[in-house]
Amino acid sequence: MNAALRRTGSRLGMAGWLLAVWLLLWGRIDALTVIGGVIAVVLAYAVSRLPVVPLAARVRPVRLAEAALEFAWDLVASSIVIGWHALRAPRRIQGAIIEVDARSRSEIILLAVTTSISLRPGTLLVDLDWDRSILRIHAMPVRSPREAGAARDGVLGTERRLMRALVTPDDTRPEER
Amino acid sequence: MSVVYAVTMALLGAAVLMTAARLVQGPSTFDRIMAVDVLSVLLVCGIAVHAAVWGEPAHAAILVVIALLGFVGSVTAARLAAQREAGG
Amino acid sequence: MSPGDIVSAVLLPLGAAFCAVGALGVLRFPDLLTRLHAATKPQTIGLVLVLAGVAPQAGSVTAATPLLLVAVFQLITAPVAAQTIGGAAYRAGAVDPGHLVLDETAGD
Repeated sequence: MNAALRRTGSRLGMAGWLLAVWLLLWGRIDALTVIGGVIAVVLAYAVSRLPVVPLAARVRPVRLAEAALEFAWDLVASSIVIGWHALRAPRRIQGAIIEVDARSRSEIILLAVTTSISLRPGTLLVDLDWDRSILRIHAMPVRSPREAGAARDGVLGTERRLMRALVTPDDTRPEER
Repeated sequence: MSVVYAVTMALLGAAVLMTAARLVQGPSTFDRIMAVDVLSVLLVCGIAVHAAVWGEPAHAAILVVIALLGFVGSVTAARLAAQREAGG
Repeated sequence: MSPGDIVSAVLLPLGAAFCAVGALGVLRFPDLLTRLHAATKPQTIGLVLVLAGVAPQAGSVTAATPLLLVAVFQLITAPVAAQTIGGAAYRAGAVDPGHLVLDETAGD
């Protein structure tokens, strides 16, 4: 029953987002655009059977704001770091492919982690093993194995912050490793 | 403001030229897909600035369409290229 | 100049500069994956800054909201596009190991 409830909630969330996009596209909110939007969203669901988006059971707003701020800062910092290397010595730059064992088994956490690491300074996801929660990440600039370790710690730190912000049923089971 | 627009457009133009050079050079298909993806972002930037210069808010819908087409195009092209390389 | 104009005058060239530096990286970095870094991050922040710079010039809130939508789409889609291209290239073997100091997947 709990799972069904969560699925319904997730559907409603997705429908709400689609409706918001529709209203933003029209640029105004009145009876006509809202009714038109509801019809469009229902039609979209009927035609495409949109997938159920995994949902967090509980959100800690302050932690989430922290993670979002950190993400915004990372985005700026990463652009500056990459830009600096592009201006200075682009030919000599080196990277590494590292494997990171993610602790979380939850789809929404891994989704947030992968999105965030692809926009973080010098990390880029190249492969993801859903079954074993292993992320394969290209990191740059990396000149030594020690710097590769630092990149791994950064990714795990992001995951830890996101796990604090979003509490999901997949990660709160007692038999969690 | 015209100086601001001129500087902005000049920087965006330089970005387009550099990305276009990568598009021509390749060397791999993936480089070219990536270059086209960057060009679509630069195109959105350029149209947005152009809309600001001419005070044309109607361009906003075009931006949404280009942004989404650029994304869907790159992802589709990358998948096709991967299939082709894997198949020999 | 109105306050909105000042915001635009700062954000527009700054955003375009991020785009240009990213494009420089796309042109000059030595291998596909490093170029992909340059193609994603500076472009995303550049586009968001340019859109924020255009917003004060839009004239009304309703005219500016689709710009927010474009920014949100870019933040969602840029990492997905980079992961798709990077993952496809990696699995297809198009990644040059000469530019990697370490590859933990090489033993697989």
